[in-house]
Amino acid sequence: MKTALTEQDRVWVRSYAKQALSDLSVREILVHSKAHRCHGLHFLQMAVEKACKAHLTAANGHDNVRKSHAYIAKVLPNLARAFYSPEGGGGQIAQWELAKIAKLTLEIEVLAPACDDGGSRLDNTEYPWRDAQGKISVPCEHDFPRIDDSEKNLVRLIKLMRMALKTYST
Amino acid sequence: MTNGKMEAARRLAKEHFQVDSQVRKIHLIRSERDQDADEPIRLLEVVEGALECGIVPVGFAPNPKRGMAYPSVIVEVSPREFQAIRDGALPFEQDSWTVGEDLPA
Repeated sequence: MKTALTEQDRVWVRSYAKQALSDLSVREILVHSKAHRCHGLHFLQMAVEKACKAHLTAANGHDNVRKSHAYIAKVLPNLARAFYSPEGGGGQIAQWELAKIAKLTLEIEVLAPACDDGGSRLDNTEYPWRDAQGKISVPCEHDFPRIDDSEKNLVRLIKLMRMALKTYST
Repeated sequence: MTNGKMEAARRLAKEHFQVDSQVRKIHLIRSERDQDADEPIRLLEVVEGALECGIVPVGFAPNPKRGMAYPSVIVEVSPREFQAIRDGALPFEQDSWTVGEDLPA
C-alpha cells in the first residue's frame, strides 16, 4: 500500500536522487582517470544505494526507509520493472535482462563494507580486510573478479538509474 | 583513430551483437579528437526496446584482462531515438561528436 507523502518526504526523494546523479557523474570521471577500479565501483555502489533510497522513499516515506545498506538487490529489480514499462518509457523488461540486473545489483550491494553476506564477502571498495586464510587485502589492489560490470550489463543499469533519478530529482 | 583502436572497436561491437540479440546496429561515434591517444572508443548502439531517455554516455576503463586495452564509452538508444539523432532532433551534448561508420555484427 502506498503511503501519502509529506512535503518533507518529497524533499528527501529529490535529495537522494540529486546526490545519486552526482555519484554517477563522479564514476564517469573516475573510469577515465586511471584511478584504481575500486573507486569507480565505490561511487557506483553509492549511486545505486541512493537510487534505491529515492525509490523506496517515494513509495513509503522517509521514516519507513531502513537505514541498512542491504536492500539494493531487492529494490533495484522493482525499480527496473517500474521504469521498463510503457508508462515508464520503455517496453516490458525481458526476464533474462531482469535476472542480469538482479545478479549485478547483488554484487554491487556487497561492495559496501557494511554488507559482508554473513562474513562470507569481506571484499569491499573502501577498507582493507583480512580473509579466512589471514591474508590482508587492499581495495586498490583487488580486481573484484566476482562483479561483472562489463559494458552491456552496466549500460542498462546506469541508463535505468539515470532515468529514474531524473524523474525523482525534479 | 589508430588501426589498433579501430580493430578493438570492431571486436567490442561484435561482442555486443553476440551477447544481446536486441542490438540492431552499432555505429562509431566520431570526434575531432579521435587522433588523441587517450580518447576512448565510442559506440552508438541501436537497441530494440531500449529505455528512451536520451543520450546517456556510459564510460569504461580499459580492461586488459578482457582483451580491451582502450577506454570506451557506450551510448545505447532505441531505433526511434537513433532516427531522431539522424534527423538532428536529438543532438549529442558534445558538439564535436558525430555518427560515424557502422560496425559489422
